[in-house]
Amino acid sequence: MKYQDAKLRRMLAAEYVLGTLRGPARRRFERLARADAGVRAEQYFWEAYLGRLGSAVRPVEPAPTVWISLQRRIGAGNTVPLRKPAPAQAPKPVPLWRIGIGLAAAATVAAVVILTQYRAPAPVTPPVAQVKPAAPLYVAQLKVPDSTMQWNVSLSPASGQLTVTASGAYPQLGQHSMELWWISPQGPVAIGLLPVQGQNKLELPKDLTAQGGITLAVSLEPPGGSPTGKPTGPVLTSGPASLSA
Amino acid sequence: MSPASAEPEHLAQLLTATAGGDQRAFAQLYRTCSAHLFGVLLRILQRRDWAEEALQDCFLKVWQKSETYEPSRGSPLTWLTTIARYRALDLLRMKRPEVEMPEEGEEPPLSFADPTQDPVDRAIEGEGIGRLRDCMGGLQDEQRRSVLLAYYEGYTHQELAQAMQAPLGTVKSWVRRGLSRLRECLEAVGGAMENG
Repeated sequence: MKYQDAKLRRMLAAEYVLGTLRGPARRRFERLARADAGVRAEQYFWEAYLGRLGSAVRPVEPAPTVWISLQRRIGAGNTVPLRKPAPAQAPKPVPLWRIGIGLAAAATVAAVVILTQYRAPAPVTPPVAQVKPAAPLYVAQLKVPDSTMQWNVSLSPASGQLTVTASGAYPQLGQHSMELWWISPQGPVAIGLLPVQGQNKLELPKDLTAQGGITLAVSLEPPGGSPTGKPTGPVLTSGPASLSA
Repeated sequence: MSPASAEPEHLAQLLTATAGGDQRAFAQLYRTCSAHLFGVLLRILQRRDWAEEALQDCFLKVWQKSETYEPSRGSPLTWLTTIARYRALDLLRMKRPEVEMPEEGEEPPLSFADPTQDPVDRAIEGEGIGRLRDCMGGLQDEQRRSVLLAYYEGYTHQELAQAMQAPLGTVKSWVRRGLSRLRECLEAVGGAMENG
C-alpha cells in the first residue's frame, strides 16, 4: 500500500513537471510538495532532467517593451515593497504576488485618498466642482536616437487629454506609422498614432493612472498602427513623463 | 543567447546578485536568457502577447524569488525554463476558452507540432541531455511522442488524445508508462542524480 502511495506521488511529480497535471491539481501538488521533502526531491529530479529539453527550442527575441514594463513592475528605485511582500498564511506563488501588487497599489491609492480627505478642512458646505485644483499636467520629451525626430508630449491622466507636438524628421519611416504607448504595469496600452509634423491631440484611455510614474514608448508599426493592439514593431524610443512644475 | 554568456556558473552568480537586489545583474540575466525563455513560451502559448505576459511574470518571479534557486533543480537556465513553463501552463488555463480559436488578424501559430520531427533530435548537446536523449530513445514511439508533445506544446491529456488521435485513457497510459520508463532509465544511468 505504501509502495502504491510512493508510486502515485512519483507519478504526480512527473506529471506536474511535464505539465499534464493541470488546474487545481497543480495547486494540490504544490501543497503536497511543500509538506513532503521526498515529493519535492522527485519534483526537482524531473525539473533537472526534463528542463533540459527546453534547450532544443529556437530562441526568439521578445519585444523591447517587455523589459520596459518589467522595469516598471519591479519598481526601479522602489524595490523594497515588491521584494518583501507581506507573508500570507499559505504562500501560493503566482496568483498571490500579482494580487499582492494590486492590493499594495490599492492600499496606496486608499491612503492617498484618506490623506487628501484628512488634510482638506471639513467644508461647511458641500465642495463645489470649481474649487478643485487644475488636473496635474505631465510632460515628456521623446527623441528617436540617430535621427532628429522628437515629440514634446503633455498629458493629464485626470482629464484624459494628451497633446503631442512633432519636430525633426525620421527618414527611415517609409510607409510605416509610429505609435505611442503607455507602459502600464499590465503591459503597453495603445494611445494613438504620432504625427510626423505639427500638433495632435489624443485621448487617453480612461483606466490609466499616474500612480507609480508614467512611462511612454514609441514603436514602429504597419501603416495605421498595430493590428493586434500590442506593439508589433521595434521600439524607437521610450521615456518617463514627469509632473510639470 | 550566446552559449558563453549562459555558462551555468555565470548565471548562478547573476541569480545570487539578483537575490541581493542588484538590478544590473537582473538586467544581464534578462539579456542572457529572455530569448531562450521567450522561445519556449511562444511554443506553448502560440501567441506573442501571451508569451510576453508570461515572460514578464516569469522574470518578476525571478526578481522576487531568485534566492529559492537550488542546484538540485538543474542548471540556472533549466530552472528559469521550469519557472517560465509553469507560468505558461497557468496562463493557458486562465485563457483556455480563447486557445481553441485565435482571433482573426492574430499571427498564425508559430509552430504546430510536427510529429515527424523529434525535437530532441535538434537538441543542443549539453551536459546531461545526452543521457536524456538516450533514455528517450528507449521509449516506445507513442510514449516518446506523448511526453515530448506535452513538454513542448503544453498539451493536456485531452489535447494529446486529439493530436495523437487516440482514446484519452490510452494517451494517459502512454504518458505514465513513458515517464516511468524514463525515470527507471535515468536512474539506472545517472545514480549521481538520485535524490533518495
